[in-house]
Amino acid sequence: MTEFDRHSSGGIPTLDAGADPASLGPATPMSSGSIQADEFALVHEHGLELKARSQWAYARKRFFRHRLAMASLIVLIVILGAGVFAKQVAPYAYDQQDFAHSGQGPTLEGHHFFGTDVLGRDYFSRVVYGIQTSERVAFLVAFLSTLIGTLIGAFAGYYGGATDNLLMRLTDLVLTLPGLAVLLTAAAFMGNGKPTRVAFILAFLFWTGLARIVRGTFLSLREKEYVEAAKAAGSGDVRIMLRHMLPNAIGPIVVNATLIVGVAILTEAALSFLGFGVQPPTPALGSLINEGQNVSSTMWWLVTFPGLTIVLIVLCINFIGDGLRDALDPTQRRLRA
Amino acid sequence: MVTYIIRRLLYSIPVLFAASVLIFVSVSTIGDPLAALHQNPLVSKVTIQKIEDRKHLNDSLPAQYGYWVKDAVTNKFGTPLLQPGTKIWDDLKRVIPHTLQLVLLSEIFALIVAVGIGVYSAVRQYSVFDYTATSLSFLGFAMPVFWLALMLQILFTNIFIKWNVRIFYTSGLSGENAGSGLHFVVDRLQHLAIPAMTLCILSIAQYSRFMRASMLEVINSDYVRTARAKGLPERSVTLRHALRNALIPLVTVSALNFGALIGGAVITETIFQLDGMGPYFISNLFNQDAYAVMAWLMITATAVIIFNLIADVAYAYIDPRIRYD
Amino acid sequence: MPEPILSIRDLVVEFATEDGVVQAVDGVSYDLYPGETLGIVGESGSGKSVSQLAILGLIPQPPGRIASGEAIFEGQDLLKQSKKTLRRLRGDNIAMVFQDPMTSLNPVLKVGDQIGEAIRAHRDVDRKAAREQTIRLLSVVGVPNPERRFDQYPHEFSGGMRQRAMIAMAIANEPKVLIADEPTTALDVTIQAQILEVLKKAQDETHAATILITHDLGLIAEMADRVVVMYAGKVVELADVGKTFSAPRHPYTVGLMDSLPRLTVDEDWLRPIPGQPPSLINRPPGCPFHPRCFLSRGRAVCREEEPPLRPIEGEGHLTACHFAEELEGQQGKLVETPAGAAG
Repeated sequence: MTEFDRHSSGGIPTLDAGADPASLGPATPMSSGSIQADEFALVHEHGLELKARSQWAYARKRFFRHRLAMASLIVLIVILGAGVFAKQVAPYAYDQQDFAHSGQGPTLEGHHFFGTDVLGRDYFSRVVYGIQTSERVAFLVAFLSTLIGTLIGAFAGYYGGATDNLLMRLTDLVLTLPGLAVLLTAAAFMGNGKPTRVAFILAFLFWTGLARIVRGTFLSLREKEYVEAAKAAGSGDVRIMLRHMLPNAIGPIVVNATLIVGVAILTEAALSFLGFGVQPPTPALGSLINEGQNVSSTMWWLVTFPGLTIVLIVLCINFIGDGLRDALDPTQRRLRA
Repeated sequence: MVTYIIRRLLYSIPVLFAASVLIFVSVSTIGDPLAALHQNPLVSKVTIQKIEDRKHLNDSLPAQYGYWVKDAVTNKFGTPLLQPGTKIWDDLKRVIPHTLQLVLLSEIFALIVAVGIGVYSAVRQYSVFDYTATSLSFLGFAMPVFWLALMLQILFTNIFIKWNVRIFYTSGLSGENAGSGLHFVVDRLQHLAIPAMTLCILSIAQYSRFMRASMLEVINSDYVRTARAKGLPERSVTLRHALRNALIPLVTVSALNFGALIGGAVITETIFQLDGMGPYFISNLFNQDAYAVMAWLMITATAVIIFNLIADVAYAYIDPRIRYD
Repeated sequence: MPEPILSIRDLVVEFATEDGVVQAVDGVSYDLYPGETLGIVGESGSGKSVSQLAILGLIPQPPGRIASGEAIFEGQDLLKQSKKTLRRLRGDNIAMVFQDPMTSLNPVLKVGDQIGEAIRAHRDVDRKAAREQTIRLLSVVGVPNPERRFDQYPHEFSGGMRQRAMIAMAIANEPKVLIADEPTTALDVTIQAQILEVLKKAQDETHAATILITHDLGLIAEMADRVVVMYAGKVVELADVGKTFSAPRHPYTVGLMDSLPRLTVDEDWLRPIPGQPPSLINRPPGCPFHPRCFLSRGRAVCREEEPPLRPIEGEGHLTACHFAEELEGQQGKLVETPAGAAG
């Protein structure tokens, strides 16, 4: 593991529970016996009206109450949107050189908001394209690792016994490997820096946290009566896993997947900074920082802006993840001051 | 307790073995380590042949593995692939302590600060301090380490340029006139300060959140309520009853982290040009020296396993419930 | 009648939650006399524990809040005392035994040390003396081999032994008031009887006035002298234990007694009280029990006016019901069995 993938040390940075994935517990279905009791009294004794709320509406309401998460969502949509619509947003092409204006600090003239680099390329445009690359990699990584992690965790938790043991040893083994080292080794000996390939490699390291969580949920649900009933009724294993167990794990899965996006962005940036990962000419936020390294004492903006962008993106993602956790895991009650 | 330690040690051996196999197989099969050499017109066929013989590269994979393990155990990993004159262990022996110094400095500082922040945040939940600490740790989580390193470098370089005052060094491990004894130590600290700052930010963020969560859980527990009901002074409740229990998970996490950092401070060491495990790995990776890389991987895997062991033992030491199984 | 040692008047305790303000204790008053055992009975959520925790300052404030009331102990209002004063009282003059001994003892400290620190917090003794006192206390509560047990950890004790240790901790400084909050609920039935004996012995040793909080009517019958019945954060009835069982004068108490299965008679069905306790947020006006009350029969005053706690049938028997008189002359079904052997 390295400085940056300590973020994903088998667990994603969580607000209330530090680096321990187990504390992200299974989301409980919101069948609420005690609420029904009050409603019974209210409706039948006092003739009051009730609004029936589904589980998701309840979660949505809780999410919207988390102001920081809402603000972050808006900011993130703006930033990621800029990346998606890079062509429209960026005032210049990312490789357009202009020696007349090289080495300028941030300024409003010519729309060089982030200044220009040594070759006169507009830095704002380069950053915007960098965002595009990063989000491509990050979302692919999140999707893949969530898929792998959920599958492995589900099988391990559902079947238990030898399968569980084997899969968990596998997880431990992946965790023992120093992440960066593995990444770099893979990148160096395999060459080729296309974003999708980088995403694949990253995904193979990031699935472990989610596997543990999903396994935990499935293990605890295995003993429930409705699972036994379903089995007795002849439901296949896969059907049981999908219909009965997976919905309970959706909460932590979503939270985890969100946070993985953030970690993936950081990791990809580190890789491209080191010269591995996404290769030029495709701009990546990490390699932009790398380019700015040598002239950092004079042209500080070359290092600062790509970095700030990364910080802002990941910050927003983490706040959103926190809001999601608030919304989807009602067992972690927090009294808002 | 002793039996527990012995049992864990014995358990570690097969893990080490499995790791070695995994490392060897992956590195050997990922690419031909001599590919670059073959392509280099300056390298003669004879040289290549010599390397192949020395490392038995024409034998079967299991045989190569066997030779590698033999070399590792009896000859301290032997020689690198490409520079037969040097010994891998000499280099490793030099770089490991440097990394250890950096990691120790960073983590110990981080632990002290984080425990303080975490405990205070928990005891004064929802206060201004708590919210500030929370926001700052989120910021810490969001910062790429290499970027932070560079920003700190820029900051201190500009301080030097503007005011001609050198508080800390922005690169290198030791100055030219480092001297010896106390002077040497101070000089080393000055060089390690900024890299340690960089590394510890993430640790502080992680550990303080963790400590806060752990402390909150403990503070609301029944036994803390009992302690209060007994009429104990609040400080005793916080320190003797709450903190002791809350530290347990943190000990485990930080020990694991420590182990991971041995092989994990690559970026920081590279940026600050510290002669540690990181740059050693990068340069050998760049040269595609498979044997040096494998030795490095084994060392880091061993470090992780050792610290896993330390984490378990420390846990058993602090929590009496674990000892008797 | 001697002076009460503890007097609670109009205590109101609220909690701020996401869904609104919960009034856990809504205007509760009762007295505790020296040497007696006062039982507090009620369902979960009736406020029986909260009122005790509030007096001792053990309710975290926020989210809790003691909105009003007084709790006079030895001439001082506990609710107005500084934290320091309360701390000195806790564990010394007023001690508490909690429900679940597994989680109520610190898992990483030795049991003996935990009892010892209760002593040393309030008395100026050195470690050795505290150790001796602790060992003596452990044997008083019936822990075998106390010298060895002193150095053990909670997980090495059985459930019953842990509760004995908790009781030892509570009586260590010979408190004037002992509060036992569901002391046997978390234990096996056979152990419950033993702990009951330990509690009685602790009472004899310390002559403490005891508040026994429980939902177990059998425990009340065994140990209590007087009974406070609580419902939805209010006191609904207060009487001698005999009267409570034989001649309850509040429909809720009647319902409680009615719901007890009897050993001597064959019954086909148990008779629980229909309905559920009300939400403690935004209480509607009127009597909190009226939706479930057989006596109310839909009468308007039950819905509109909250019944005050008032005397009925002489001194010492209070009830909070508009129509308690209609219960007069009736006897609880448990009267058929000799008093004191109910349940």
